Amino acid sequence: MKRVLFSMLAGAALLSAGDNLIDDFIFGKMKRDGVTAAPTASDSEFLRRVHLDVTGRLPEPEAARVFLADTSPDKRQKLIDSLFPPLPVTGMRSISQAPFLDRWTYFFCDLFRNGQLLEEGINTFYDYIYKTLTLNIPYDEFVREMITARTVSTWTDGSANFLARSHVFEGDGYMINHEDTADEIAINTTKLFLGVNLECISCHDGSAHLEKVNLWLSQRKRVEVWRQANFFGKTYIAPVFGRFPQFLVKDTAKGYHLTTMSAVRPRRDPKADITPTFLLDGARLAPGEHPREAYARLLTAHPQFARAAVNLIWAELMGTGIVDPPFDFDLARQDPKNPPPPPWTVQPSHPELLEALAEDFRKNNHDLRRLIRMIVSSRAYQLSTQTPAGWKDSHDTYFARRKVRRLSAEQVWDSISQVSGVFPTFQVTFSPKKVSYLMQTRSPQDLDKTNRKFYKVVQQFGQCDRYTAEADRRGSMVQTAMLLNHDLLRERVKVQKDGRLETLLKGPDKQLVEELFLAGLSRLPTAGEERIALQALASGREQGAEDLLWAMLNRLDFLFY
Amino acid sequence: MDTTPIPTLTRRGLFRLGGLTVSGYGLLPCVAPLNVRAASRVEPRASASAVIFINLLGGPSQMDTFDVKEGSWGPGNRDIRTTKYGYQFPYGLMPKLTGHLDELAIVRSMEAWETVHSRGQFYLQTGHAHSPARVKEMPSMGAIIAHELLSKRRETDYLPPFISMNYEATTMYGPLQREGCLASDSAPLTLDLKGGSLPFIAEDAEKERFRRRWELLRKFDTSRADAGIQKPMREFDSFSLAVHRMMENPNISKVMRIGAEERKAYGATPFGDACLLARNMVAADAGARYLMLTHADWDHHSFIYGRDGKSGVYKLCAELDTALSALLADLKQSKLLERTLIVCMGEFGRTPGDLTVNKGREHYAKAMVAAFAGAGVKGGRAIGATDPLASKVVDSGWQRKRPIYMEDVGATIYSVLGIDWTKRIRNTPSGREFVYIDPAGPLGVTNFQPVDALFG
Repeated sequence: MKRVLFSMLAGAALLSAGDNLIDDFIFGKMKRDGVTAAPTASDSEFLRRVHLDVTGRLPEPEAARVFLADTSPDKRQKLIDSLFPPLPVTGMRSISQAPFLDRWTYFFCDLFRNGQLLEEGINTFYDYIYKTLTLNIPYDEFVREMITARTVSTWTDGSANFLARSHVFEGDGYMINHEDTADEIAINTTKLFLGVNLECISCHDGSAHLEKVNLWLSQRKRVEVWRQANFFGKTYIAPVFGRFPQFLVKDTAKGYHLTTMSAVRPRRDPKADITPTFLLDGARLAPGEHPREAYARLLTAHPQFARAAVNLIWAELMGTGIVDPPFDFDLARQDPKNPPPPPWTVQPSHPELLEALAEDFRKNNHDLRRLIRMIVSSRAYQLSTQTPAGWKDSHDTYFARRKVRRLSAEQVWDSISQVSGVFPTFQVTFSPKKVSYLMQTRSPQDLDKTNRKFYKVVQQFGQCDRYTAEADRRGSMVQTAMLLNHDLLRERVKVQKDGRLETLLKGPDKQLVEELFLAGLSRLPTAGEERIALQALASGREQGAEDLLWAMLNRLDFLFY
Repeated sequence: MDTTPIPTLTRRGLFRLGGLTVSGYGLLPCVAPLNVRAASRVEPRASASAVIFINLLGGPSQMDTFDVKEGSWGPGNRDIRTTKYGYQFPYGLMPKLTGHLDELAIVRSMEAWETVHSRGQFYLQTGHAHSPARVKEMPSMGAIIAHELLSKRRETDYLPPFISMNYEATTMYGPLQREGCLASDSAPLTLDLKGGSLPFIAEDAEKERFRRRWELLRKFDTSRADAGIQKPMREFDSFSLAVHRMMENPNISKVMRIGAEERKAYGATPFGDACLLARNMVAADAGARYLMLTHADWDHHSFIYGRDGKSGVYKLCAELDTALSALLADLKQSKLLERTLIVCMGEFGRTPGDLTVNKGREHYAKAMVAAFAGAGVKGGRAIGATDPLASKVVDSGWQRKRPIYMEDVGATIYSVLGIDWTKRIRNTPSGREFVYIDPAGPLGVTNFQPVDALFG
């Protein structure tokens, strides 16, 4: 309870519009190096972008009309603020509709791989993340809670699914390998929360392997992974009464044994010293401290924790991290005052900005909403996708133009629902709940079990399967074929009950065309576009409207943002 | 050191080419200027125009398929007999293939590196041992083949060079390996033949509407005409132009459509359908070079001989038997087999000897089996041998005195397609060199090379 009140106060610490610490760094560097920035995005470009990035959805046509017509100078800031749901206060009923919460819960579910291996735990984990974001719990507390969670069943306690998800089986596929599981937790937490990838050195020392890849990791040894993992030596993760995949998470294990055979890695050195030691700075347990609690404390207090977090959110919103990819930090190449030996260069594109964002994040209770708000409020975020004069590909690292991205797999199909006004219904697995946006599903299995054919289509668009396949925004021939010719899309564009076309066909042609543009592109048509659209309608109104909707959903500027 | 220059297109060049490239693929060669080099001069065999790789997903039991063994554990109705070529074959499991032993060369001296499905599949699809650091940047063999052969495409080609059928990304097997660090024109076209109609044919009733809509789209989508759009959008446009080219080709329905009669002849299974499409694609001679067909469910941990004598290996061998025999028959009749290499194998073998408590077999790396045909492969042979249990290789049967690995199969595949398997890509994102077939494998095995013994 105390924590809830505390985080509500934290959420109230809002930024004022002018004080954006980002722009000085971004535009300062461009100025210094003579790089020209793209112009500021138009209102509709910005409106569409910020909606998709912050809430996962397109703005409704009516909202677009209002925003475009608004002439007040602070309208962008007002729009940004309107995308965040209010924090709960006493007497408030519930926050029933909050696309922001859907979108960011989905983001963390992808990140924490909340998928089919957890079965009913998917829903408890989902609800836990949703609640955490609803209350805007500070990110460090969020992470500490998951790392220290204990439960008799992951199907009743959401936060414990985070650790349970990292279980590793023996080769027989029935028993859990304790040491491998501890390794996996160390690898996952170090990757997700510190941005450092230990995969390589979990099998062998970095030396003679990573010299060209990662300077810091090339100096690390495999034993250091075991020491990191040994914070979880006593963490006991097992199926409840043998009923996989319902897990208990306790602290009753007998420790990390080097002699246990690994199911996935080479033998460990049985004589190694594996006193639990934090990999980044060598810190150890305080006297009498519980190892997992110590790990959670050391992890979230380390400066790299905030740096990794802000970089991750930055990459999600800007398309590229300041360190990119965001889970490939090289810790020996972060400080411009202490640069690495040649031929290495400092890794972050904007090291001072990364530091400043991390500092701000720490000082403001690791407030995710504040961070998101700050990034999308910056001028840097609001640059157009247009290519400025004198462009070179290397200018991408300056963030000199908006990097164009395809809508995520979920966004493609949710946007198709929004524009057509024809929504599918997804049954939430193990629950009576039904939802109509993919971004509201608890995991891909909701879609899979509701409509396997649709699931396969969405997978082709690069949906994260929360196991091995990460979210992927690359295009493909199959994607274009599906948009051009799949019966799923052909059905969607038909005039049908409660669909957008049915309503629009009751009004005049010009309005139909305008509404379609506002729904799909958040802007009005140009004179040329309107002419082509009106011609299409002239040769048969209903058929023409279906063709237009189909063409809208196949437009590149609909599919990309 | 021989350097293969990779052309770097200027931005202006990209715009001028638009979607329709010289390759006729309709795909933009979105050139990441990869620095590809050949380290040594080897002489590829260049005996094939296409490779059909049959991926027996799950790891088939070597001693119940192409390296069949007698044992107290095995039911008698596998009907093991000695063929006219003097090796044993399960007539009861794969009766139709016994009519094609003239074409088949069976390799019984194979080993795998991995016994985890996802890592094994990675190995099978890329020819490289799994490495977490390099998973994202490693191209699959199909993508390398596409990358290598795109420059040789003709105006008339309308099928993409790399096509994968029926590979379903699952938690167990991992994702389909794609183009990695190569450009998107090397990406696979993925066909799911279990999901009903393919979106590459406009049905007759839809044709007129599709044409009308396509014309509308080209006029209406002003963003496609914008020369200033960024690369991901330009690529997407190229993909849709390539799809449109396929859909509008008068032969596409011959390639993609399956008749009821022939479907029956191929077994009327998703795998049979894949073999049929592969046959059609090879026959169309329209640019498809590497076709990976996945045949799922070989992971027989329990009831490998079924509960009823019909499931387990009985079912899967019957599916494989029917489809592969029909494919061999058709390709032989059309003489296309002479220029098409067929490779048939899984990601590892299975534990030999007695069955487990679940009446199945577990994963096993020390013995596995593969079958080859076409493109100059001399049939009627079993190369290499295992001990009486099929538990280890006792005779390698080829020019090297060690078991055959996927790397050797990979070199064979590259070789028959005329590709130098020793080429290397220098500027990968991780900074580590990528060799098409890495001469140094895991566990100290080195010097991989094509299995020349296959070709007699």
